[in-house]
Amino acid sequence: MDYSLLPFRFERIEDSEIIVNEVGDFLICPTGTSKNIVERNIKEEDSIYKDLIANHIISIATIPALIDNLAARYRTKKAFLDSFTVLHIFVMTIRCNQNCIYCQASSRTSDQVNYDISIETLNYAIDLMFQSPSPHLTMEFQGGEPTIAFEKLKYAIEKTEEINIKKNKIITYVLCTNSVSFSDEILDLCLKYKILISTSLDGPEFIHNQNRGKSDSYQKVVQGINIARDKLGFDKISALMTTSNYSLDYPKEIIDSYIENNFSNIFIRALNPYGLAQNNDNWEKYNHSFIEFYKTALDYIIDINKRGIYFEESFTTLILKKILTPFSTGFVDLQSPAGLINSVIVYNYDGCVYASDESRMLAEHNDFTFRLGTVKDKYNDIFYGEKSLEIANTWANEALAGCSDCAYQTYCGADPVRNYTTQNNMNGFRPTSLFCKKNKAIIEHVFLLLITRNEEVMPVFKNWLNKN
Amino acid sequence: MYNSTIRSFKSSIDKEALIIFGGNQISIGHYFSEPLVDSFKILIGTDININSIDTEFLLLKEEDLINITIGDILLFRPNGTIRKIYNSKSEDNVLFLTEQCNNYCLMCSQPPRKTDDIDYYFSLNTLLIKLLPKNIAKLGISGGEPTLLKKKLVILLEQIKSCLPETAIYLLSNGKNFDDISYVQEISEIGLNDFVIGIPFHSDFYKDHDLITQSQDSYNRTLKGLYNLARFNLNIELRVVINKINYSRLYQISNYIFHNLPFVCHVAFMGMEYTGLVPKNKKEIWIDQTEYNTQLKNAVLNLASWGIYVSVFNLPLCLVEKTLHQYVKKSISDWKVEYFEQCINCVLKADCGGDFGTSLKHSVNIQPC
Repeated sequence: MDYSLLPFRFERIEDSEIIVNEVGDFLICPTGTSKNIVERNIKEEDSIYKDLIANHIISIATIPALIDNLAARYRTKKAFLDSFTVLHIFVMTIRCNQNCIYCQASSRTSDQVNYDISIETLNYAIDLMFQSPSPHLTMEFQGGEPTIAFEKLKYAIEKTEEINIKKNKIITYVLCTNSVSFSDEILDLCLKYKILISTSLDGPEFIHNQNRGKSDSYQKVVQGINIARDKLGFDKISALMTTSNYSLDYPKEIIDSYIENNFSNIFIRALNPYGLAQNNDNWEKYNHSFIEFYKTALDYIIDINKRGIYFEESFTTLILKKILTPFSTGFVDLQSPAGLINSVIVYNYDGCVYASDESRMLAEHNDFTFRLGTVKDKYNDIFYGEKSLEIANTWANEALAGCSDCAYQTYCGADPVRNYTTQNNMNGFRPTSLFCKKNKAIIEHVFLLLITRNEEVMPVFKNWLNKN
Repeated sequence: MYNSTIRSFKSSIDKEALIIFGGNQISIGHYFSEPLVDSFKILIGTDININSIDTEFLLLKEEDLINITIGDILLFRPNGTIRKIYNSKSEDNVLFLTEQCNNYCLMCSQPPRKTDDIDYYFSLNTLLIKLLPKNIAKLGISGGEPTLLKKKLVILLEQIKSCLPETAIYLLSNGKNFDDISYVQEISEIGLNDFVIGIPFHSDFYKDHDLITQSQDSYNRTLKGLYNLARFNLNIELRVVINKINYSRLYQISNYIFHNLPFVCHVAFMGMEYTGLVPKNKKEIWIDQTEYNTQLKNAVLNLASWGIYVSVFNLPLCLVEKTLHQYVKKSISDWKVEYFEQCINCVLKADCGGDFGTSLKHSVNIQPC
C-alpha cells in the first residue's frame, strides 16, 4: 500500500517491538512490524493501520496535513528550552565538614578559607544570572558545604533580592547542604527567603556513616532534617541518595530508611565518575550492579505502593513522564539539547564559569575543557562564546551516532561532559558507553513493566505522575 | 428553549416582533427589524373592542398562554405563530444562529437545511441579547454551525460581552472554521470571561471522523482549529458522540486526546439521540448503549487517571457500568428529558439524567437500578 513514513524508531523488547514516533508516543507491536511498515506491507484493513496513522508513524500525504500540530507537540516536548538557562549554581566554597568516600566535588577541609567565593565574584555572577532571559530563576548554593560560608550566602541572597526589586523575576533558592550543622541564623535565613533545602541521605545509619567517613553523620543529618522540617515546613526539605559500592547490597534497607524518616520519595542516583568518585576501580561492574540494584529497589517500591503507602522513585517518574505524557521534563541531567548551558550554569568559588556541575568537578583535576570563561566576561562571550559553540556540536542526541536511531532517543539525553570524562571525547562512543548502557537498561526495564505488568504498575505510576 | 411553543394568534402586525411576557394583560414589545423603536400592546381575551385601541395590538386567547410564564420572551410572526425563544424557567436557553451546517453528521439530531437564514437570525438574536435578563447564568449558542456567520458571530459575541458580562457562554461548533487562525484571534480578543467552545471529536482516525461528518477533510480542519483555539487559550470541551463507527476505538480516542489534545478543559462521551438523521442512517450508526460499556469504561477511566476532567452525557445510569456512575451527568436539556414506566421503582432516579424524550426509540435495557 502507498503511504509515507514519518520519523519513527523501534526496538525489540522480548517478544514485542516498541515503535516510537518523533514526539515520544509509542506503540507496542508484534516483532517484525517495523519491517512491514517500511516495506509497505501494512494494508488499510489491518487493525494496526489506524493506530499507525493516528500516532503519526505513517502518513497518507508526504507532508502530513497536521504537520503543524505535530510541530506544536515537538515544541511542547522541548519546552524546557523556552526560557534558556534557569538553574544558576553558585559554588560558595569547596570547604566541607564531612569526608564522603565518593565526594564528587573534591572538597577541602573546613579551615582552608581561601576556597570560599569572594564578594566581587558574587557580584559579577549575580549580574550574569540576571541577564538570563528566563522569567524564573533557580539560584542553587553548592559546595563543599555552602553553610560554612554563611556570610557569603547571606550576602548573595540579599544582593539578589535587592536587584530583583527592579528585575522582577520569580526566584527559587535552593541550598544544597549536608544538614549536619544547622545554626539558628542559617534556619532564619532559610525561613525568611523560603529557601528549599536539598540534603543527602544515603540510607540507614550503617550505610550513611560508612559513605560519609564519619561515625555520627547519620544521627546529625536526621536531626538536621527534623529541625529544618519543624522550622521551615515539611515540604521544604528533600533528600538525595547516592548509591556507593557499599550501598549496592542494601536496596530495601535504604528505601525503608527513607520511609522511616518520613520521606515520600527517593531519587536513586548512581555514582558519577567525577572527583573522588572517579577512583572507583571497576566502573563496568559497578554499572551492572547498579542496574540490578535499581530494578530490585523499584520492585520493592511498587510493592510498598500497592500496600497503599505513597512512595515514589523520582528517576522512574521522570522517565515515565517522558514515555507516557506529551509534556516536557525539567530534569537537566537527561535532556537533549543537554542541560549544560541551556538549562544550567555554574559560577565557581574561584570566579570561573562552567557549563555544568560536573564540568567544575573536572576542573578540580586541572582539566578546564568545560570552562566557559570567568564571571568578569560578557554574558554573550560566556553563553554564546566559542567554547559553548564547540560543546553545542555534541549536545543533541538527535545528532549523535548511536543515539540518532535509538528508539529511546526522545526519552534520553546527551552528556558531552560524561562522554569526555569517560571516553575522552565529547561525542562519545555508544557501544561502550556506560551512560548509554545504564539509561537504556532503565528505560527498557520501565517498558518491560508497562508491557508485562501493566495493570499492576500503571495505577502506581499514574499516581506518581499526577503528583508531579 | 427555541421552538418549544408554537401557538396561533390574531394580529394586525405585519412585522415580526419580540415581546417579554409581563403578565396577564399588557407588555412592551419590539419589532426586531427596527429594534427598540416602537412598542405595542397585547390584549388577552376575545371580547375586546379593537376600535377603542389606537396603537398596534395583538389579540391572544387565554388558551394561547398555556406554557408561557412571566419573563419568557416570545417571537410573534405575521403568519400568526408564536415561538418561545427564551424560557425564563429553563437553564438551557440557546441562541439559535442558523440551520445551515458545513458537516452533515450521520447522527445529527437537528439536520441542517440549506437556507439563507443568517441575516434573519442575526437581527433576531441582536435584539434578543438586549432583552435577555442581565442575571441569566448561562447561555448556549448553537445551530447549525454558528461559525458560518463569520464576522457576524464575532459581533454577536461582542454584544453578549457588553450586555451579559456575567453570563457563562457555551458555543457549540464543529471547529472547522477555526482552522483560520485570524478568526480565532478575533474571537479570543473579545475577551469573554466565561466562555467554553464545545467541539465534537468523532475519532482519532481521520477516515472514521470524516465518514461520520460526511465531509472530507473535516478531521484535519477540526484538529487545526483545536490547536488554534489552544494557542489563544480558549476553553475547549471535546464531545465524543458514541456510535457504531467509533465505539471500538474509544480507548484509542482517549489516548489520542491525552497525547494530542491535553489542553482541553473537559471531555464528554455522549449517548446518541434516536432522532433527526439517526433513524435513516441506523444501519451505519446506531448501536445500543450497553454494547459499548467496556470501551466506554476504559476510555473514561483512562482520561480520568490522567487528571483530565471527563464526563458521560445523555446516558441513563442503568445503561452504564457502576464504576462510571460518578462521571455520568444530568446533561439532557430539561425540555427533552424523559423517564419511563420502569423508572418509577428505580432507586437512582433522582440522580439519573434520564433518556431523550425526543428519541423515537429507546434501549430495551432500560431498567430500575
